[in-house]
Amino acid sequence: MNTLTFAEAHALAQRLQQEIARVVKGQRAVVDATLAALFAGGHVLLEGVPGLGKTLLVKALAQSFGGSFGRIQFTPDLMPADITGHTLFDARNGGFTTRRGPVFANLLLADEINRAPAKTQAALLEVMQEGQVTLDGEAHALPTPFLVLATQNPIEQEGTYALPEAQLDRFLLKVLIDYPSLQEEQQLVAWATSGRSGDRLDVSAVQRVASAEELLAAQAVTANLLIDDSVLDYAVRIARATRDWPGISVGAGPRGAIGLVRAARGRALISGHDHVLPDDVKAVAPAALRHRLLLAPEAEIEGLTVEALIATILERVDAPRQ
Amino acid sequence: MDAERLSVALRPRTAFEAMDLGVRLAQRAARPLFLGCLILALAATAFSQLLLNYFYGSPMLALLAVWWLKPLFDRTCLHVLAHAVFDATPSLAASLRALPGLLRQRGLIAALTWRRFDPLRSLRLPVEQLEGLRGRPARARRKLLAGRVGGAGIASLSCFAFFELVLWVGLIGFVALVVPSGDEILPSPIQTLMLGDLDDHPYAGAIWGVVYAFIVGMLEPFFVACGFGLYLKRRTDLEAWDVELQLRRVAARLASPLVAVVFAIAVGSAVLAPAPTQAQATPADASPPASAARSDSAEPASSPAAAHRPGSSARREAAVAAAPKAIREVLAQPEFGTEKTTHSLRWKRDEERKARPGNTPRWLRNLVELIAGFGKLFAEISRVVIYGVLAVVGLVLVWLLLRQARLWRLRRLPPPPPAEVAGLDIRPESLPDDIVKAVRGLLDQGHQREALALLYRAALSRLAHRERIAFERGDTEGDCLMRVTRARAAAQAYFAQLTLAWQRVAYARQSLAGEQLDGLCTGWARAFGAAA
Repeated sequence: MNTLTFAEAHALAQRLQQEIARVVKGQRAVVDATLAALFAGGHVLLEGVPGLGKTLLVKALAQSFGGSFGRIQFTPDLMPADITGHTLFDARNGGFTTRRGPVFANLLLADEINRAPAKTQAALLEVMQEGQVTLDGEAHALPTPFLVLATQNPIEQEGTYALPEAQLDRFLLKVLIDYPSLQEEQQLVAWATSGRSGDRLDVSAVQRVASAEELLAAQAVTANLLIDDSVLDYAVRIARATRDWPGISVGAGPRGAIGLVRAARGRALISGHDHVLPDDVKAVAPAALRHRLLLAPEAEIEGLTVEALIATILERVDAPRQ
Repeated sequence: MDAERLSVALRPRTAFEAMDLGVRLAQRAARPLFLGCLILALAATAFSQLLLNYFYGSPMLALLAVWWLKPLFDRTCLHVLAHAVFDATPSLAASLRALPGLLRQRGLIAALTWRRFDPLRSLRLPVEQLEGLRGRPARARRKLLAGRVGGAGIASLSCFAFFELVLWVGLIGFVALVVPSGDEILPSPIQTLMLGDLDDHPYAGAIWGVVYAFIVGMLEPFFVACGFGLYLKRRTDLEAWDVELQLRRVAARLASPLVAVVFAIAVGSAVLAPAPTQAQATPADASPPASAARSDSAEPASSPAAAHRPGSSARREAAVAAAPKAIREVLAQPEFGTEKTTHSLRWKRDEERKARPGNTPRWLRNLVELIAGFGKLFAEISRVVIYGVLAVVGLVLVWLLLRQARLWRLRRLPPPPPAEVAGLDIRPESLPDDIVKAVRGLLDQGHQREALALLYRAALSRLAHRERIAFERGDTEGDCLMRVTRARAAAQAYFAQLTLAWQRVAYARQSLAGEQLDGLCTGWARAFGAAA
């Protein structure tokens, strides 16, 4: 495996940012969060209404590093085997043939993940946690790097199956994707309508600027970024504060604190400093924690939201400084 | 000035008709009256703004000073009105020339101090200024004049205070409507005046001072004129001044010595009859306003003094002998009215019952008187209790008002800086006296991280306490830098440099070069001053 220095890894991150920005107009925070998760080796749950460029982002990302790209459109009749693959008896050669599912890709887009029932969603659990698929008793490793980008629609509730907490916890970040600003939308519309017909997602403008191996090397650099004990303590204190905070019935577990630190490392790489700052932890905390918290019923009745509670926690928890 | 050339028709009037008369009088003498008052108010405003706003720095005090000096403006107004009554309205220049004399009159200090809050000051002002009374007679005279029209005088004060408020609030609202919103052009008029934010905007205070001078110049003459109208009414009621003047006119028309004497007696009796006590106690009361009485033509030939001239005793005796008949003739004149007989029905039994001696048993009368006595006692006790309760309620209200005023004042103040930010003690007293020296000492000992921590903590302390930047306990270094940048603090460039250095030492475990540390120490002294 190639090895990269910090500067090379940071430059790689910048190149990826630039290439994605060729087709994804605006949504800078979403792109940065996705890249942070990519470098941290975590999965991302994107939540937003249709038409905001979620699929385009994933396709552009796959195109930029030349990785393989798989897409699963989750529907109520989707079966686990449709995700992972299956083994069939081949009568011609009298043996079993294994057909790999779409998860065997570097980037997997699980579109509208909450439209499939829990049994099908659970098929992703092993994939996301272990990075392997067991077919007919045989474990098949997934290609690396492997990143699941799942999307879900927050406004349609009919015919959907809420993701179980165990599965939500597998996602490193839950990123909210919102409407672009006026200026960004103007650029987006101008770009999408100039010389194009139809509404197919065209990512041909994105050039390949990295290989999967380089990405793996960058992930290694990210994992080894220096984090001071005080910053680590800050991340843990934030995660622990969610457990006994008024209005929160279930707080983030240790996986939440781990995710917070990993995501902060990813952000530090993108920001260009070879050590993790408290600002990195604070910046990624909402995305790293919002899907791990459960609001108390009385807080829901009062109209409180998870976002508001996390903001309050971040205001109250002392930042590290000696 | 001729006392008989009265420009108003004196007759018995109600109190509010009398105030209407005052308003008409003010309209008639509008030019010297309003301009004189306005000039004085503007002069007082200029003086108070210069002294209290410019030098002392309190625009609200400057406004208060103009309000406080209103009795001074009243004197000029009354001077003009008193002359206008006798159809001798002074010019603007003449009324201003009379100002030094008016200021020298006694009673001004009292009017500006302990009698400043007298609700009947416009009614009582003529007693001092026109009649020239002092001391006990003046007190008795003021009390006498205020009787029966005191309520109207208080109503007049309330009305004009309300008008002033309406004009004030209306002007504020008008300016607030027409001035574009935003801090760039003018501070919000509502904010400056209604929310007491005037001290932060001294130039707005000056503008409002001029506006208030115009309000005073517009309303104060009317206020004084209403009080003067009430004063004329009371003199008419008490002293039959209108009758006196009517008789004088008749006497002048007839010009007969005999009739003159008769009229003089009639005048004397008419004047003395309704209020003999005060008429005898204060000779000036029987005359028109002192300004008129002191004038050279104020002593007509028909006055009582004319009857006492030497050599006229024979004629006086003859006149006295003929007086009853002459008086009857005079009283038969239509000016004295006509007799009118009215009839009404009354129960005969009532009068019979009153006239009949009581046949009630003595014990019953005693019992009734006892019960009535208890009732009176109970009423008196209740009265005292109610007064006590009212006093307590008033004190409680004052206490609540003072407490609320203190709360409002506290709310206007910016919040005090926190004692610590993210566990760092940023109180100035927690820092060494010489920060740079202490930092250099730590650097010499090789404690680079502690040295930078101290430098960073001291910078936060200075920014929180001097620049009043509101740091929160959860602020990271990036948040602190963002707040400092947003506040456009003078030291933001240095603070950014210091933050970066601190992050490198604290979180990246890097060491800084000596010259860089030296530059930070030097820069700290330049950005925040050497001493703590």
